[in-house]
Amino acid sequence: MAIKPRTIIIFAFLLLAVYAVVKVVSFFWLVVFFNVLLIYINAVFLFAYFEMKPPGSMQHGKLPSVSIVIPNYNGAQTIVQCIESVKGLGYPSKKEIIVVDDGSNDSSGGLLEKMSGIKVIFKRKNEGKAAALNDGIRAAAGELIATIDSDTYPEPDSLVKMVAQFTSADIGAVTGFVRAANARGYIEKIQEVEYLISFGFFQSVLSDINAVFVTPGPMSLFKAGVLKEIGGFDEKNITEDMEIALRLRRHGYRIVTCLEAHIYTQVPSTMKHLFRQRVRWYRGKFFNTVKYRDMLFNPRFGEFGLFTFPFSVMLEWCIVLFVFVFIAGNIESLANFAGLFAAWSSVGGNVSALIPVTLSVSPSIYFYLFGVCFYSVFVYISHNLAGDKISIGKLPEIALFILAYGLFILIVFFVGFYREINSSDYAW
Amino acid sequence: MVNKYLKALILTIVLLALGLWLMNSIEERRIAAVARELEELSLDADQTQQLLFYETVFGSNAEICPVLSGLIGAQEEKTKDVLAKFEAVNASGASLDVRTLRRKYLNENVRLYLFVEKYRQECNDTNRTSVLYFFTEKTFNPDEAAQQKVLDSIVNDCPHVRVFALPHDEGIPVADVIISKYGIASYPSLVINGEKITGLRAKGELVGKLGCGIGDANITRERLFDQPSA
Repeated sequence: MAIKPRTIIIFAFLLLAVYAVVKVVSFFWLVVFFNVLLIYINAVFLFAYFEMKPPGSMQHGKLPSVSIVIPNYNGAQTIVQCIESVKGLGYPSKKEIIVVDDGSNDSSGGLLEKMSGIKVIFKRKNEGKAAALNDGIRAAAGELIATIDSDTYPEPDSLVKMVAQFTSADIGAVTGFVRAANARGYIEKIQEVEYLISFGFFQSVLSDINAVFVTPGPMSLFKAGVLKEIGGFDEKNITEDMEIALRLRRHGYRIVTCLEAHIYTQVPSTMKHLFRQRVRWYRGKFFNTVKYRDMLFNPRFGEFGLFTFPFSVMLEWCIVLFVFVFIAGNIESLANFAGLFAAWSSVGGNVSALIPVTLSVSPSIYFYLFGVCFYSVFVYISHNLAGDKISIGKLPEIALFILAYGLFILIVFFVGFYREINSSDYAW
Repeated sequence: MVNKYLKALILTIVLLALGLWLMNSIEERRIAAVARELEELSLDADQTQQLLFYETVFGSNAEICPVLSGLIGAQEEKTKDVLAKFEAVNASGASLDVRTLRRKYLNENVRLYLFVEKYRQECNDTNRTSVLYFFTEKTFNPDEAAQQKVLDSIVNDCPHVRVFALPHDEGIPVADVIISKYGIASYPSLVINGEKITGLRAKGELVGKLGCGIGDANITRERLFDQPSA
């Protein structure tokens, strides 16, 4: 897609503004500021973890009926295993499985027709995941509705454990501990570590301080009445799992996390797929932040409104701004290098001689090390929460996650920001 | 609710202070190492000066030439080490002020150039060829940066060549006098065997003037900084 004039104007403005700030404040202090912000947010989460109360659970007399809605679009490779896992969910009360085939053009249709014990809604046209979920919700008869991705395999006891978390009337949804199902290559293994931290450590702390703002797509459990009350999923949203969580919060409902419910989902196995997924997540977050901006710094929403939501947005903005700071902070060096390159080439110099032989280390590296320490602690806690051991064999992916994954996220956020500014289209 | 936010704030302030202290300590240690080496270089220069003064007093140079050769060689090596350390400090983006040390280093370099010239005269040493390289220290000039690269490459290939870089904007009296002597008005400029050469010059042209082969060992070079500081 061609770069739009508005994109050039916004990027030029940001670059100039940041350049002015770099000149006044200095590159070093800006980097320190970003690191300090990161340290503060992580420190809050760490202290919140130490103050966490043990999660409660309710002994139901008669368990509520559950409808499990599985949207499927071209999921022929995983849908059968997914449905078998869902059928295997131990649940002593009534349970129905509704698969909504969202106009698949692979062999999903044939596979679904052959399966027994499920209701299948075939849609002729692909209308998106949120629309498929809404079709399933309309057809559902259960008091609770579980939404499960067609590439997700919940553990047999996960549903009953999640249902037990509906301990009060204001709980609108329960999330589980989403984990990577296919951690074979390094791309998947790094995501395995990321999922452990995100859905283990962070999600459990967010749940404890009543600040969860995503009901993960792989599997979440909702009260059917609440879903219908708030109008189901937003069909125009590319991160409908975040949007519905924010809407639940706006309606005063809590979302709690059940760490004992392990839900395994397929994670991207190629960089291209991962990058595309994360850019979509970032753009969805950006879109939903704008949509629910009234919740930012709003004391009516407690710690969620005052801390987690605004600080998560601030952090993402800082990451995007960091790219501008990096460019602005080095713009003169880059111009100098371009001049040197031209002069050196004019006297027949070998270009390879211009490549620096020693890496320069910015003093801000010492602050980065604190971030590394925090994330090392989070990795340890997350493994404990999951009941996993950190073996020596796992150290490479943990090191890659802690030391290098941030750079990938930085690129994702920047590209996501660019696409958000440059286009008006949304593709799931 | 307030508790964890306050605790986190206190921890953040402690880590910020610790980080700044750690950074400062490492920078100070690094700069102290440069200062120490500069001090040693200065002591060597004093001893060289004493030997040259001996020659002035007693009018005899036969006995001092071998000693002078060794001392100047040692100074050349130390100058290289200090330069490497200075470049490391520059590359790390040190926030501490090193301007005084830089001026001291520049002075020592100019002094070394004068010693080498005096030694060549007194001891009739024809094995060394000095190249004077005039440049701007305080602002970046791509032609100067490229010329430095060319000179680096020449020094690597020609062991008898010594390059002395003289900044015109540092207010070093001897450097200013030399600039005036050769009528240097634009930068980069070079003086090879008394001949003034202005503008960026290719390696081939300079090697021809210096009459050196390629691939010799025993690299010796003296220059100030690869890149002037911003």
